[in-house]
Parts: sequence; C-alpha cells; structure tokens
Amino acid sequence: MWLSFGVFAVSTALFLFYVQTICQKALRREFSRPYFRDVLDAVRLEFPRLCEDTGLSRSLGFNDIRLALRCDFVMLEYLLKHADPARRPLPGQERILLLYFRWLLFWLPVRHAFRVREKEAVAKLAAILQHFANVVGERVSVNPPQLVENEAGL
Amino acid sequence: MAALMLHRKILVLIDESPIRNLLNLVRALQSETADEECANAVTAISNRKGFNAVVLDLRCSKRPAGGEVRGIHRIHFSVLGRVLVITAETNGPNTMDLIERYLVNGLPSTLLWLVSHRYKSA
Repeated sequence: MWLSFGVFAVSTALFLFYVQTICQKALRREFSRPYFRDVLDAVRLEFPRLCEDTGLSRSLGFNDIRLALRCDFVMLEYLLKHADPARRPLPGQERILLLYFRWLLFWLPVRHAFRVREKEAVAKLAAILQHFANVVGERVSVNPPQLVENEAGL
Repeated sequence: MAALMLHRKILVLIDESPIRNLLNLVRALQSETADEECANAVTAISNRKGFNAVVLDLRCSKRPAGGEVRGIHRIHFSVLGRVLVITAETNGPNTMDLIERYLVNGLPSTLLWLVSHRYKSA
C-alpha cells in the first residue's frame, strides 16, 4: 500500500517536473521581434500593467488582478486557436502552456490565501500571456495586411 | 500605475444573429455620433467574409458620466487574422449585461436605448 503510494507520488512529481520543464523551454523561446506590442496595440490587453508595479498587492485588489489575467487569457486563447489565417494547428508546446496557465490560475487563490509566492505566480502568468501574445502576433504577421487597427471615439 | 478595468466581459460571437445585432448596435451608434471612425467599424463588421468570429471585449471605464452614447464611451476595433476584435468601454457593469443580452437575445434596439439611460452603474 505504502509502496504504491510512494510510486504514485514520485511519478506525479516527475510528471509535473517534466511539464514545467517543457513550459520553461517554451517560454525561453526568442522571437525575431516583439510581436506582442502589435497585439497589445490592437487588442489592449491589461497584463503589462501587472508587470509595471512591484507593489502589486498595495495598489491592486486580488480579484482585479485575477479578472484581468483571466480575461486576457480567454482573449489570447481564442486568438491562438482561431486567428491564424493559414489555419495551422497549435503546436504541442503551446497547448501544454495553455494547460499550465490554467493550472497556475486555478491555484492562485490558494497562494493568495496562504501568502505563498503570490507575486511570483502573477509575474509568471503575465510572462506566459506575453508569450501567447508574441505567438499570436507571429502567426498573424504571416499576412500583415490582415492586422488592421482602427479606433472610434464616441 | 493606471487602474485596471474593474469589470470585464469577453463575448465570442460566431453565429450570424448576434453579429447582425452587433452590427445594428454599432450602426445605431454611428448614426447618433456621425463619427467617421465608427463608420469604419460598421464597414469592418459588414465585411463578413473578412473574419470568422467577433471577440467583443466589454469593459467598464472610469470616465466621468456624460459623453457616452447608449452607455458606450468608446469603441476600438482591430482585425487579427480571421478574428475581428472589438473593445467597448461602457459606463457600468449593468450596461455590459444589457449589451450581452441584446446581442444574444436580440433585445429590441429601441428598448436598449431606453434602458441604457436608466442605469447608473458607474
């Protein structure tokens, strides 16, 4: 009984370590230019503001941060899956990164409740969102005229 | 540090009916404001072949009351690949709900106009 539990625990730990390694490798990828700036100009995501201030908990509420992260993620996930003009499937690394983001966001309230490296988690989530924005920009920039921007002030 | 939007809602519109309702809404805004840029948004939405879906990002802005039309302060649109992304700053969470119901259920446009003035959710 204890042996099987031990094997299960070690296997789970190895699996999580493997997943984290894949995600870190994906996040280390360098893009030819900062595509995410084009996407930020077009879509006006909020995650860069989360990185600006290190005194995160002082100036922003936890629920505001979580809402901003979740909404930016929903937007970028949809764009990742559907915006590509060439309709290329999403690479496996990016799919794992999507799951990893969900996992981190799911545990964020727990980190907040117990004050366990909350700021690091938010910074990591913002970094993943920036990576997604870069990927979206790269996939869309295959056909530059498609990225049209306009503004209507009422 | 600039404050984040306190309320946000992301709507993905794929079907014809909600996109048509959105077009009616933006067209109504354009007719009231006569804004040229708003007309461009109408043109972009009308060009159904140019995109597969509309992602509508509704936000509450902290702008002072007044200047908004039908509860909407500002619209920003962009085309990313096959997706049209529209960001709309509204005057409060109730307006966001109202717009969602209008798009999904097709609440009559005149009713939307009447009700939006009653909300003071900002």
